[in-house]
Amino acid sequence: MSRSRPDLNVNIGGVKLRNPVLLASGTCGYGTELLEQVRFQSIGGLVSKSITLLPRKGNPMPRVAECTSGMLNAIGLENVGVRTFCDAKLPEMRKLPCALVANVAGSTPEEYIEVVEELDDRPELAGLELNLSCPNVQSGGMEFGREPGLLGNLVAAIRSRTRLPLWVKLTPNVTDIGTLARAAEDAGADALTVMNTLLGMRMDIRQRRPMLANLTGGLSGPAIKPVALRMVYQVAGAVSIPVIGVGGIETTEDVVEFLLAGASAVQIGTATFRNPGAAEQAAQGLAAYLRQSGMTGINELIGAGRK
Amino acid sequence: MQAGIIKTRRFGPYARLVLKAPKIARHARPGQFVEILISGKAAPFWRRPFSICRVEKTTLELLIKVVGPGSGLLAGMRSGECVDIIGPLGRGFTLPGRGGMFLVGGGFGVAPLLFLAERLRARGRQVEVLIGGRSREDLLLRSAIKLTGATVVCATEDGSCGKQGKVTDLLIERLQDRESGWTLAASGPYPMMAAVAHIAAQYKIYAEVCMEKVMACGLGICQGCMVKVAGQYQRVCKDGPVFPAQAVDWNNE
Repeated sequence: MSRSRPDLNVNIGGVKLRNPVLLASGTCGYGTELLEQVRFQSIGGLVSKSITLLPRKGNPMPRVAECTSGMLNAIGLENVGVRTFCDAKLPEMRKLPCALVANVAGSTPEEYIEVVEELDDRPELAGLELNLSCPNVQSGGMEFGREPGLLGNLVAAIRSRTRLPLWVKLTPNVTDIGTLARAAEDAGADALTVMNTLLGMRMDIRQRRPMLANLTGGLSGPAIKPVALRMVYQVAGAVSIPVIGVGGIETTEDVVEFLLAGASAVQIGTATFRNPGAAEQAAQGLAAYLRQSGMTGINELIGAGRK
Repeated sequence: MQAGIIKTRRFGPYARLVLKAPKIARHARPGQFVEILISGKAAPFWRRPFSICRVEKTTLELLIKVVGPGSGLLAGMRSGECVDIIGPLGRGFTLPGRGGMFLVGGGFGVAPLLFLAERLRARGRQVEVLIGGRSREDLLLRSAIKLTGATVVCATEDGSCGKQGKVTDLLIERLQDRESGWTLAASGPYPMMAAVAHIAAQYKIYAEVCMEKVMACGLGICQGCMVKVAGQYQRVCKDGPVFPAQAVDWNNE
């Protein structure tokens, strides 16, 4: 058995990562918030929170609710807007020693395009991820991600306006995610991120009303892992571009499950809130898993569990 | 990081925990908090924030109020056990001014005021702590605060200890004859802090408040613990928990 370090490098639609573990959008801010908590040299990359054309204030409070094995959020895309992101955040983010992917959201196709054009020439960025799946805003997100025609048109329009690798993040709140995945691939997506949060709800039994001011929110955390794994399996079977698995991943074992299902990389989201070291620990654990299994590289694992 | 519990004391619905955490103890400032992962299991899912109540060289002390399963588990832990802890987090009190300071605490909110009183006394500043609660049992940390050399005055709604009434009534009395240069810090239930902010504005005294919110991350990432401050949403966990009382939009809750 080879004693050399297993090869964890992956190329996700043109985004090169030292290992397949990233921090998921919305759970790592702009990265710099976690400087004291995360060793960025030990992870593959991070995906910024969603950036819109203008700054957004987000939804009214309460915006989060705790659940068994997870949480609901309805933040509502609060962010600094693309101008401040470029002027103030990216120069700081550049110091983080991992691949940087900017997540983009908008209310209209034109807004998506404007944000993408602003980001296109930024040397700090390794790629873009389109949020077509935010469940918490009135417009700008999920409706583009639910209808294959709308999704295809939007992805195609954006594809022609940027040189950056383009990932498309899909919503699970649909009947057939395979159709949407194929629409994104056909329109020129370089990779697919599967999945965003599941729409959910909680009631406050003392005040007898929904816990979230937005009434509903996106469920994340280990509670959704089996759903995410099934969707990754389904999408990886439907397209030939790489799939990035996200949804309830906390440990090395979780990462291995997603790779076996056909994901080429994974994102760690809500787990960071409980354990800010979760992503780097999963990446380290993955190297150990490969070594113990006698594998020389990550490619031996990707899709190996598919039937 | 892991911190060993070296002392616990349970009284009524409350507990005091002393933890060995040299790094946190070295850097902590009054008003800052720690986040503790209580189970790491399905529930309670989030970490829980606790104000740092006191620091001694390599240890820190927390005051726990049992309000649900999470705080219940933590309050039931024994010395020798370990907890997974992150901190110190957030922005603490600025220790404004050079003169004396009124510290106004309501119920469980008094926790960070012990630490604040100690630091102020160590700088030789005069400290007067006004503590309020529904009843005698709700007046916490009185003797520990007295030991710092601070003056302690109490108010209870049922009159079982100190003056009958609200702690804000006490504050108004004390503000009538204060010397110049005094400032104010408050920590307690939201209505109490809103009232303190109002009184501070009336009497033109600078005040800081220590806000409390449910937190999902505690690290400044998730934007789940926002309060309206100076016209915009700010994160209690990172931009606070201590804010200037005048800047908080008390009507926007």
